[in-house]
Amino acid sequence: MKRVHLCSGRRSRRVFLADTCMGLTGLALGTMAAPQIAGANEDNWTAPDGKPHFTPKAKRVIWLFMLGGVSHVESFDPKPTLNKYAGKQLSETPHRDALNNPLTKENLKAFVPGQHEIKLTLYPMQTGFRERGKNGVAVSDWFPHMGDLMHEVSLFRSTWTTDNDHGAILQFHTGRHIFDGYLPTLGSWVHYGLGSLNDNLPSFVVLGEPPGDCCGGLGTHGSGYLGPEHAGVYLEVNPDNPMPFATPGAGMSNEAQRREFDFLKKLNGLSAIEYPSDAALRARISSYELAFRMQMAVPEAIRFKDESEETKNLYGLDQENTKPFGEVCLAARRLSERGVRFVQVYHGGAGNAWDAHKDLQKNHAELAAKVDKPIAGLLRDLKQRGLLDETIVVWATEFGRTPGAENSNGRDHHPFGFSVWMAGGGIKPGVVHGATDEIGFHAVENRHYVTDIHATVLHQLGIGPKRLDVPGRKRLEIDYGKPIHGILA
Amino acid sequence: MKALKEPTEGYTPIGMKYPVTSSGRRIALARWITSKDNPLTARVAINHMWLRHFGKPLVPTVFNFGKSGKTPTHPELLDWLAAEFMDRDWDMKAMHRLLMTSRAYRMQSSGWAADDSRAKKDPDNTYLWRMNVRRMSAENVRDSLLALAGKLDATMGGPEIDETKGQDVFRRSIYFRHTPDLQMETLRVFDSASPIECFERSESIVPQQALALSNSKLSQTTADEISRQLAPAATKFVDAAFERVLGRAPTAEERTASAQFLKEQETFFNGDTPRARQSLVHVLLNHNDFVTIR
Repeated sequence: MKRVHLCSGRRSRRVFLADTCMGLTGLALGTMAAPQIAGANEDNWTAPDGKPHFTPKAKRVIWLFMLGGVSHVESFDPKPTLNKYAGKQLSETPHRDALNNPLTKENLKAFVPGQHEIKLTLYPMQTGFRERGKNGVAVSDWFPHMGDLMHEVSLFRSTWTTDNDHGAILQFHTGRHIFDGYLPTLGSWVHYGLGSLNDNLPSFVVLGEPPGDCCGGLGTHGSGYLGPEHAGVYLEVNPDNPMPFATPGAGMSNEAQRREFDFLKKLNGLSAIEYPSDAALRARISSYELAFRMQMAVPEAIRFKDESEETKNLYGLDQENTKPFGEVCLAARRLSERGVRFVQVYHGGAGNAWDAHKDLQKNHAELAAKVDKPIAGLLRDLKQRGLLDETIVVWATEFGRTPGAENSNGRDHHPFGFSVWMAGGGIKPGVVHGATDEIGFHAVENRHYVTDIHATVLHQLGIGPKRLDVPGRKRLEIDYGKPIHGILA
Repeated sequence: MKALKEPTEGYTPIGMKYPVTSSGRRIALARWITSKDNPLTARVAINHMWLRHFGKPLVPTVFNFGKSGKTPTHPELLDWLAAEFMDRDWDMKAMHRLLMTSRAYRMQSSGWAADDSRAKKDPDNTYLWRMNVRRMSAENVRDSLLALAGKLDATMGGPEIDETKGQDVFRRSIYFRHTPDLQMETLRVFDSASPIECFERSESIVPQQALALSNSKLSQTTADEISRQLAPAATKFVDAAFERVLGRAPTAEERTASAQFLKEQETFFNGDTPRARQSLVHVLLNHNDFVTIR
């Protein structure tokens, strides 16, 4: 077996490895890459060097993910045809073929067969819509602020997935159905493939309210076989108390703490010689290095002291309703600005999901009012600071909602076609790409599985996903997806 | 149904009163669930026990043994253990003993060469060619700190304790409030159970764990206490500290490095030997081996 060149002068989280490569434990730490090549069948494989594979268009990603499933027909893909046939059975309308469409079967890998059956009584739109943004894209009345910015984003209305239950959260991030287990997520691939832009902050940060164990749990920002050091680091956004245990307390000076951490690194390094294949040990060593540097950097990023009132108001921090998510979005910008590669933001966890099986009108109107202004504020703020050019912003959700009614006033899960938008980072602004049929059932034009979004993000970051392959870990063609060239500037 | 209608006590019941005699339906259900003809209960139970000892379950979907669940990695083993469990009259302690004295449990978790053919064929250790390295659960981490210092209060039961008092009240971690909104910070960063749903805990390695073990009052006072207790060991302080905190003697290299560190810290703290010793113990509490089970 050939040696892995971990000791090439790479920046970032891997710096500690490079450092120790020169020192006492160098030789042994070099072999710590062993688990990654444990299944090696290609002798010339090397770990990623942290550099892009080709010239990138973007440096970082802010990934906004709405949990529970936002209704596409009441957000970014309004369907007036539903109003026309309100209360009618699907079979009574000219759109009855939707059920016979082979996609109805092909496009579904039900979590529990028979659950979340297709709802057959068409349900009218629960809010109005009009053409919004400078390019006049139909967006519902629940999203006026994001709607105003449609000329800044690339909207695709033809995303599909295959899980009709909330495992779709995991699927959106790993590209595989929850039955296939906990594989590396997009953020972890970025973390694995690219070096950090700021060694004082985690490269992959998670904000907001993460999903529960039902739907992927920590796995939705996990790193699977890439190893725990590539998983997302959750940060609570609480400007008054930005990080628990952030300071060592009065009894310990900075210098005293540095000395302890240095010695700890030495001891753990000795263990690493004894256990060269222990991925958890390797992750713990780097987590201590990061912890030391984070103590100052995270509280600074999450306190908003130096933000003007004007900026804060842009995110809705002046209003009670928009403040919580506004703070999360502002923290996302600040972390991104400071060099965090991938900020994954969840909205809708902890019992506030967009999962409107009933009372859709109330549920969506309330939740949209909480996120619409903060997200639009984030886009505007990134733009005015000149950050948008190099930052990809993705707005996504796990699936859409059924054209048919559930419980008389709700909609069920709908994996067959739904909307996602992307902005910044070399994405063409003002594009509407792809479409669902007239009732919002199937994605019929420019269909994209969720991994096409992964591929697009990686492409803009200058990464060829196949070059990140880990020997012994087989990936399928669909795992890589294809960049959506129609939306690239 | 007579019992339902006749108020016998001197108050108005706020809910339905249940009959004194039972219809026997619940006991019938219980008997059916635990019948030897129903292997599911014992399989699910033993899968949980296995998960806790081996760090990975035999059926990956611990919460789903149905059609959409995953098949066991070792179906015959699962069934054999399930049958043993029933044969041993559902005695969990007997099963713990059986699992922990097994050859599989006693295998090494580390020490294999990177190019070991087994590592290539089965990098995830699905087929148990070695033991998994595990991490202490959240409660273990906090309770171990206290236990090492001899400060763990083993009192059982009683009302729940305010979750903000985890650094100052030395009761076992399980007695603190743990609700969806309120959880002890120390436990949360070490992936304590989700109060809403917990089939299986996730295990993360994040910098906040490092901060909790290095910056918390609990770890600093624990280090203080242990180093005072070990002071009489004097020249053997390094060995004593390793044994107390990590449960093993230091290697020759560790001993040399630690002695050197003690000396340097003494100089750094202007000859304050107790402070230097506290510093060494504090480092050991942050050592990977402290939270790791091999």
